[in-house]
Formats: sequence, structure tokens, C-alpha cells
Amino acid sequence: MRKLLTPILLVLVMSGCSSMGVKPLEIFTTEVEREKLNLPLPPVETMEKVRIIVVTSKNQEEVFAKLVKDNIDPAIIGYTDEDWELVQKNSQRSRQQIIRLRRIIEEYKKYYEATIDEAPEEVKKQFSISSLFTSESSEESE
Amino acid sequence: MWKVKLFFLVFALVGGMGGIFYVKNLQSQLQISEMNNAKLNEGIELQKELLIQKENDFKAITEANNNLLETNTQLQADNRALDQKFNKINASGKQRDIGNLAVQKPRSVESILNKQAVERTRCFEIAQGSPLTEDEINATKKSQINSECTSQANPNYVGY
Repeated sequence: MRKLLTPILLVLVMSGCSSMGVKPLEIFTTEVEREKLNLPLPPVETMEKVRIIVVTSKNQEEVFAKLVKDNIDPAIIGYTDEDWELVQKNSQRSRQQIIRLRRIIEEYKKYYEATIDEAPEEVKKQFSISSLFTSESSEESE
Repeated sequence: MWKVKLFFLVFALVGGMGGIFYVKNLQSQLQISEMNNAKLNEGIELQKELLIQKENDFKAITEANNNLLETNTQLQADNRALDQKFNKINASGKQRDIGNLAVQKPRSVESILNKQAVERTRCFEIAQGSPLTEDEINATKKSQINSECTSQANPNYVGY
């Protein structure tokens, strides 16, 4: 009996628990949604008001005299009438490009994020271009 | 004789066992088949959902493209309007010349240009997404509109 038991035990020890059967591993895959980027659109920049002066050969003396009287350097940085038209066209093109790009961003946001979030105040400040000129503005106002 | 009986007994036992195993096997096959069917149905449902999703995506993309196209068409019209504004023919049949007008009436032209500059500034704000004011929305007369970007600033104004 012992002669029989010894090899059986030996075989069992060598094979370990393999004879008891190994359960197959189950691997679960769960889809995790990507975090939304959700960058806010920049706030509206308030543009500076500029004054346009028309200088002709007839009124130039009057214009320069008025500038001196108002304590403004008597120098005009100007355009000819034709260049003025081009400046207006350029200005319109820039504006239209802003409209197009903004519309594209809005459509992307609508498609991927479903809602267009209003920028929080802190982010608005970060994005604000006006903040770059605040020192100049404050000096002017003083 | 007992050997024959034993043989039949063993045969019957083996046959019975075989039958039981056969039925068990059939049952497990059937169970697998049912599970497969359930999985297939689930797959079909998922495919249906995917098709609906694709259809909705396609609609959203088409809508986005149409919106952009509409914006572009409007902006092109604005460009043509600006061109026409510069090349307008005046009452005497001559092409408008802002330089000539400025020489003749510098004060008036200056006033007009400054008014336009204010309007243009507002146009930039609107382009950036600034909400329209009530006056801008309700403007229907030529004297009330922003002549620099009427299509964006005055949605209720109908040009003539």
C-alpha cells in the first residue's frame, strides 16, 4: 500500500493544484469619457475711441493751430483718401475674420460640448488684452 | 447466465450514463446557443444605436456647415456693400470721391468719419460677441442703424 501511496503523492505534489482546474481570467474594459477641454471664449475687448482729423491744403494752418492750442503735438499721421478706403477695407476684413473664427469655435463647442459656457471673471481677466494697456490708460486718465 | 445478466446490467448502466451525458451536453449547447442569441440581439441593438448616433452627428455637421456658409454669404454681401459705398455715383452722375469731398467740406467729412469710427469700434465689439443693445435690435430706420456693420448690429433693419 505504501509503495502505491508514495508515487501518487509525489505526482500530486509535482502537479500542484493544476488538476483542480484554473478559472479563466475575466478582463473588463470600461469606456472612460475624455475630460472636456471647455476653454471659455475670450471676453469682449472694449476698443479705444480715436479722433479723425481731416487736413486739406486749405485748412492745414487752422488745424495745426488748433492742435497747438489744445497742447497736442502739431503732427498728423495720416492717410490719403485712397489709402483711407483701403484701411477701412482692411478693418472690415479683420472684423470678418474674427466673426468667422468665433463662429467656427462656437460650432465646434456646440458639436463636442453641447453648451457654450460663459467665461468666469478670473479667466476673463487673464484673457483680457486691455489689461496690457492699463498703465497707459490710467496715466491718460490721470 | 449471471455473466450475461451482468453484461446487460453494465450495458444498461453505460447506456443510461451515455444518455444522461448526451442530454446534459445538449442542454449546455442550448444554453450557449441562447447566450449567443442574446449577445447577437445586444449587438444588433448597439448597431441600431450607433446608426442613430451617426445620423444625429451627420445632421449636426450639416447644420454647422450651413451656419458657417450663411455667415460667409452675409460677410461677402457686406464686402460688396462696402465696395459700392466707395464707388457710389452721386446726384451729378460722378463717382463719389471722399478726397474731393474732404477738400470741399472738411468739417462735414470729419464729422462723418468720426461717426463711422465710433460705429466701427462698436462693430469690433459685436464681432467679439458683445450682446446687441435694445436700440440696435429695434433699429429699423436708416438714421438708427450702424452703417458699418448693419447685418450684424441691426438684425431687424431691412435695406432698400
